[in-house]
Amino acid sequence: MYDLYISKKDKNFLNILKLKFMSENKKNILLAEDDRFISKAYKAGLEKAGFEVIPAYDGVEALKKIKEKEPDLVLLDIVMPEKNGFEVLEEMKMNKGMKNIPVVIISNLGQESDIKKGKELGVLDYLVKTDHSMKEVVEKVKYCLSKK
Amino acid sequence: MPIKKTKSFSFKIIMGIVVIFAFATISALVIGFLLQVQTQRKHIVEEKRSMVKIVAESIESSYKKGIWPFSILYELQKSPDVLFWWVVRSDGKVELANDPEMWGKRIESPWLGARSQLIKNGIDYKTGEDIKVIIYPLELKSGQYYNFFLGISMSPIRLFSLSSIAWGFFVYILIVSILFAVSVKLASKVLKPIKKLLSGVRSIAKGDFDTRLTIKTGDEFEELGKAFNKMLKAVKKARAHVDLKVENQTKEIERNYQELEKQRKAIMNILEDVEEEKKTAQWEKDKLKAILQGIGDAVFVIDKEYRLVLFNKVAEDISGFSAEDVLGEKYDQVLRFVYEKDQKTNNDFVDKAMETGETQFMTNHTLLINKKGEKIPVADSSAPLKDKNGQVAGCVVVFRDVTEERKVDRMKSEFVSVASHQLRTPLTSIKLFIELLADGEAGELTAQQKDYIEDVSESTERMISLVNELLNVSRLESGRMKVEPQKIRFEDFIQKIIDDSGVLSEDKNCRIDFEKPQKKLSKISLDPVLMRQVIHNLLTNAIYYSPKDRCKIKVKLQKKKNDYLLSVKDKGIGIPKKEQDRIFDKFFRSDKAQKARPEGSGLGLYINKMIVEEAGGEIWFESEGRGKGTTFYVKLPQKGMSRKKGEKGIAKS
Repeated sequence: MYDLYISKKDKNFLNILKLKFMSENKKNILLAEDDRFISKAYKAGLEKAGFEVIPAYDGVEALKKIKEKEPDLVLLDIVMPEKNGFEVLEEMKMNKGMKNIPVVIISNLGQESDIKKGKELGVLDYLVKTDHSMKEVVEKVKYCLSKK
Repeated sequence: MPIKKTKSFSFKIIMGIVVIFAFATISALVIGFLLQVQTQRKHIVEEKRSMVKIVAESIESSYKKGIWPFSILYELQKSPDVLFWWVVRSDGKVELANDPEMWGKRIESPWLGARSQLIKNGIDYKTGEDIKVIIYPLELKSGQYYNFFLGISMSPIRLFSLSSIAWGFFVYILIVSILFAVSVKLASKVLKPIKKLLSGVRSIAKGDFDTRLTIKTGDEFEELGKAFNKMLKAVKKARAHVDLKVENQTKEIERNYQELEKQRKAIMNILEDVEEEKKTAQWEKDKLKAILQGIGDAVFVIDKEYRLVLFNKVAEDISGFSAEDVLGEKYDQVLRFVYEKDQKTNNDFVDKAMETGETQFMTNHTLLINKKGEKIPVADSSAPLKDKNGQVAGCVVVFRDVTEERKVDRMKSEFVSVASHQLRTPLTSIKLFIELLADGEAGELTAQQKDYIEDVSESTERMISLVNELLNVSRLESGRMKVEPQKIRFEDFIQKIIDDSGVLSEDKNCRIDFEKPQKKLSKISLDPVLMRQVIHNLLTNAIYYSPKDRCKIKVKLQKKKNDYLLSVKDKGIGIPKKEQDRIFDKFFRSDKAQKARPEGSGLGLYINKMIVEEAGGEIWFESEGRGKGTTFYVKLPQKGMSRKKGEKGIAKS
């Protein structure tokens, strides 16, 4: 409808506006993943699905960004430099501001003990990266946010 | 039987007779002689007294005439008994004597001048022998008395004449000889039947019972002979009876002896066998000992009382104790096994083996504290030793130092972990980017691009699946696969897996029938992840290796006694006979299967077998061969799987 009144130039501007408006309602997701390629792929997939993605490439960075940005959800890898996923989880649980942020683990470990440990630390779900497609991850994120 | 040499009876009798006769005659002679001497002496004295009277009268008458009666005196002198004669005056002067030396000599005698005849004992003045002296008074001149002295010898030799002695001796010898002959004759007559008896007895002694004695003496000996014959008859009869008895007994003894001999031989055989057995047993024992000593693992054996009876070289090396020191000791006083976790004593594996009689394995992470107090990680098993009656008589414990294995294990574990992460991470990003591309997130794709991207996606999935399977194999092989059973309803569990295979089976246009048992089954303890892997694998295999549109699969679950039997039957390509042996081998793929599904890893059935066997079950198949379909069977014990601690779960393949 807007197309009728707005010039091509304006259309561009409107797009920016629209994006800005939407971004305000966009859910922030912190993606803690040390592998750049995986991070990039997840970021692309999640952004496409309408989420804002804040990437972090190690445990310390992840904690710092969680504190700063207060994301709606954390996608957390386990094997990471500096601090591993479980250490990050433990610190989050110790911190008032962070302890209620939902966490979904994305890992390649996929062992029962890890899953159990994660569940004990209050994560919503535990996804084995190779076993789940992008679509499944996006679905899972949407599901977890809807429950919040 | 040697007969003692004895002096014969006849000799004894004859000797007896001789001695008795000799004694009798000698004593008779002596007595006779003595009596004779007495009478002879009296007789001589009488004779000489009367002679002296005559001589005295003639001397008196002659003297008156003035001569001496020499002829009478000479006559007197001739008598052998007369030793001397004197005519003596009353004053002792010898007027006349036989011995001229005595003439004119004077003698002294109390009987000088005796007026009557006297007989006195006296002693010969020359020889000193005993004599009788006859003194006779002579009245040669009136009023003057003379005495006549006559000395007479009393010695017996002089009394008897030699001829009379010789005659007497002759008569004596004659009588003795006659008596001797008669005695011998008599003796032999008496001895004859005795000798016969003796020979009879001797022949009996030699065993001749047919001897009969013929003694015809008509006296007691004949009676004795008859009695002897009678006795022989009786003895023979008794002997015949005894002989029969003896014969029977001998036979019996013979039989018994043979029986005994047989038994002895049998026993000897048995003994030989036993000896042989012993040798074999000893050899076996030695062999076993040598094997146990030489074995690369530490071995010790304990008896019922938990005392060490064998302690091999490796056990010495690991524990630091020498066999000499520890044999006979209670094993737990020497070897301290503890849990790695809490350092508490862990002797369960031995105790249980002794109690239950079943082989036990040491729990993971057991440490042995050696002589120096060092803690050595060990792995072991203990197997009970049973005696003939099946009673536990001891226990063999085998353990080994797993320090190196632990190291290797850790390295392997690290490798697997790294590989898992390092391989899966790039695969994950590839997978994600392919998905983004395929979804047109990077712009619309041409048909060809889409086709290529799909191929890449499929290869990536295959790669991920392969990596996961390799991980699983590595975990299963290292025994680090954990088992976490849950109570599940088996039929529902299978149904779920069948439902999940929807996409794949739809592709092939498959019809899957599931035949459940009529009665609802009770829940069974199964590790859902592991069991899913098994059933999923069988099901997908059945689908993969069935031709499109002719894909009919029958899944059947049965309860058989104490087992569950699951079968998955397809009508697919089947398994050629020559390949049937190798179907569960790692990486093995049948030619046909390779053709039908090139992307298969050859690990599915290998993993299945490991999981099923871990659960204490069995897996096998039946296939008539190429093109005739295959039926796989999985048998699981009713009790299901038992919990096992491990590091890793299974990765989805």
